Amino acid sequence: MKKSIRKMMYGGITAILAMFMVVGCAATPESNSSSAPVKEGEQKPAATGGESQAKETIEFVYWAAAGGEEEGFKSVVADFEAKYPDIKVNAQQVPPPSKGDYYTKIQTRIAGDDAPDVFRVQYQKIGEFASQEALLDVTDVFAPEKDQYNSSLITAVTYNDKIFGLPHHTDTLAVFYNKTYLDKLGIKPPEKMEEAWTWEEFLDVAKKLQDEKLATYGVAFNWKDTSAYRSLPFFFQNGASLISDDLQQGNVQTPEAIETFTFLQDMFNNYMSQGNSMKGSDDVNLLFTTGKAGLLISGNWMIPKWEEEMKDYEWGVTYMPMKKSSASDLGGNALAAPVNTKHPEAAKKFLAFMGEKETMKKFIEMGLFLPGRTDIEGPFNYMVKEPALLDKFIEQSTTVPEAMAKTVTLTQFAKINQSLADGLEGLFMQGISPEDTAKTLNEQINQILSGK
Amino acid sequence: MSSLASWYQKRAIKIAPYLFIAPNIILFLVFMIIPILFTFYISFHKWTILGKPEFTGLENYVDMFTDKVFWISLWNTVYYTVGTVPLSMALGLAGAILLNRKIPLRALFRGIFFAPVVVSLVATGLIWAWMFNPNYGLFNHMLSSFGIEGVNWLSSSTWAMPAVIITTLWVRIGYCLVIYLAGLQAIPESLYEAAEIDGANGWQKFCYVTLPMLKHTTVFVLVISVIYGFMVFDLVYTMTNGGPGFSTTVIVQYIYQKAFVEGDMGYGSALGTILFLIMMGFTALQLRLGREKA
Repeated sequence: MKKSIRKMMYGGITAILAMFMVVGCAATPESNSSSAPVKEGEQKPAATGGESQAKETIEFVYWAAAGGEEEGFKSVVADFEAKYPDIKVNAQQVPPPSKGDYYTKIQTRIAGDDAPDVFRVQYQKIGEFASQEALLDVTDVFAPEKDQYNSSLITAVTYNDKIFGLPHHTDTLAVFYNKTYLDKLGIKPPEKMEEAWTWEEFLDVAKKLQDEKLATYGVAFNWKDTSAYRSLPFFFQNGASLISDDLQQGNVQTPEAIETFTFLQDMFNNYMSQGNSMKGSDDVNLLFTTGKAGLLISGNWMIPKWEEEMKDYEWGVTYMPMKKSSASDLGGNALAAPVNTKHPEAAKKFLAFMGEKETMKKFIEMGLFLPGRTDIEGPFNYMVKEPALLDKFIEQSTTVPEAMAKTVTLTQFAKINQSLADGLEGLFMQGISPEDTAKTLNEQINQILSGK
Repeated sequence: MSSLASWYQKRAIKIAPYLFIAPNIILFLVFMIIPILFTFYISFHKWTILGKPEFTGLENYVDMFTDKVFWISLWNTVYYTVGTVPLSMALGLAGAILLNRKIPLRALFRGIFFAPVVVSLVATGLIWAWMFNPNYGLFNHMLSSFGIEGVNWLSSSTWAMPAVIITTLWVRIGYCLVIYLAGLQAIPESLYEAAEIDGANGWQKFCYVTLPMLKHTTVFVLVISVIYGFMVFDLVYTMTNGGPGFSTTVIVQYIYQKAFVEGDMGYGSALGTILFLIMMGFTALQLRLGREKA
């Protein structure tokens, strides 16, 4: 008798355990889907916290690449909650797109109808999301103030005449230089944008740096396959573009574009590290901080890193080199809401709040960005030792061509970018001629644009 | 309660086994079988996660035949496999024979050789990429102290794949070694004694006793290593990202790039299906070779 009871108990426990495991498995994807664990001290989703049912909770997914960015987001989210006590923001920080499958996760969640309510998105990705009807139309929120925003950025978040996100901030590329080295060479970098180095002068500085055995590499460039589009400014500087003005076909087989490829190949082969190619494994920041590279093309977000890590050398910022005109990169991010958010009104309130002058100013000052709005009055109180360094980036950001905004926000841009990366990789590492590179790239772009 | 209990008790023998395997089977279904079937399905479609899959028939498969990068990545995968499998097996066997003798600190050495297998491949890739780094790396520094000028390992179309292969050997030798060690210990001592009585020397004992007795171990290690070779991703992704050019682009990485970087799930799935079929071929081979026991 006793034995049979024990047997029954074991059987029962096994059955119950099995049930739990099954239930546990079924629940796993759901609780994991927010992709980042809720940190201690942060608000948990209402489902588990459950302190007040009346409160609406929205989930905001973002990444923060640099320290100030994270603080900036936390600070403005707190401000939002203070202003709207009935809305709670479940802010989820996740790894940046360059370090993980950020967009795959977001897309999967939207497709699975488990979307976050607001998420951060690069301008280069807006077209892809908007064309698949994955974003909430927020024209009613931002159209009235449209003229108060940077027009390239408004172009970037607009698809079929509807606005699909807040042009939150931008950033751009300029040239960081090793001042210690340039002083030794007696070179004074341009202090005005009109006097920016020409392509030839730029390479000449690189050459001197190498000839005098100061730097191993004259130039380093913060580009890698997923950010191959950072090479686009050089095309626009020379009056070239990847795609025709009507955005219907490739426009790479032009003398201007081929000349740009020739310049990039020359720069790469003679003045850059082989590991700085599209697929290379060089850490360009390390090349610059250790003095291995004398010039570095990179963005304003790197300033705090240099302030902290450049101990052995002095450094400074100058403008992008120019050819026929000046041009730089369209960086930065937007905030958007998925079309199937469960809280569209609260999400819109959040987006509108993030777009308000004071909020935006506070965020960009902490995160070291350039504002998406053009009507915020300076001076910006950037939280770095030398806020004036940012001025050159702000000035440089005015040279971002609108055609570039249209190019990078094309729905097929991920594929075009990959083709550009493959083209540049061949140009740099396999000695493919600029003419052939242009020809192949043009064919690929035409194929991509024809929707195959 | 008691009725449920008695119901269960009556059928316990029949039900309990299913309860025991249920967690495993459910996980296997949800995370393996269903995704595999779904991959087949998607491979005939154009799909970008968002939106509905659009049926395109065999288009993805037809595209593959004219896709130069696909053939390059297939060739690179074969190159990688041929470069890693025989060497790791030979060195693994040599190490196993060495560590099967009574040498001091034997257990410690076994642990040391097996350690790389346990280390995460991403960590391994990152560390070795640093060692191969032309500016700060260990290898070129060592070579230069012998007066040899180092090569630009990971940035050279010629040397990038050998660099990945060297790293793989570091990992795989330990694995082969442990499997071979188990195989060696299963060989009865009496066979060697008999061979000695017949006057066999060391080399003859190896050729006529050790190798034949290790046949099944060898088949197992071979098949597992070949499959491992075809599935390589982490190391290539962290060390070279497929470059320079496409010189180290392997097939799994190309799937990743198509599906998750460019968002072309249909084409990525078609590539995955082809890889699946290749793997099926090797597994069938293993089953056949394994059956020849008698």
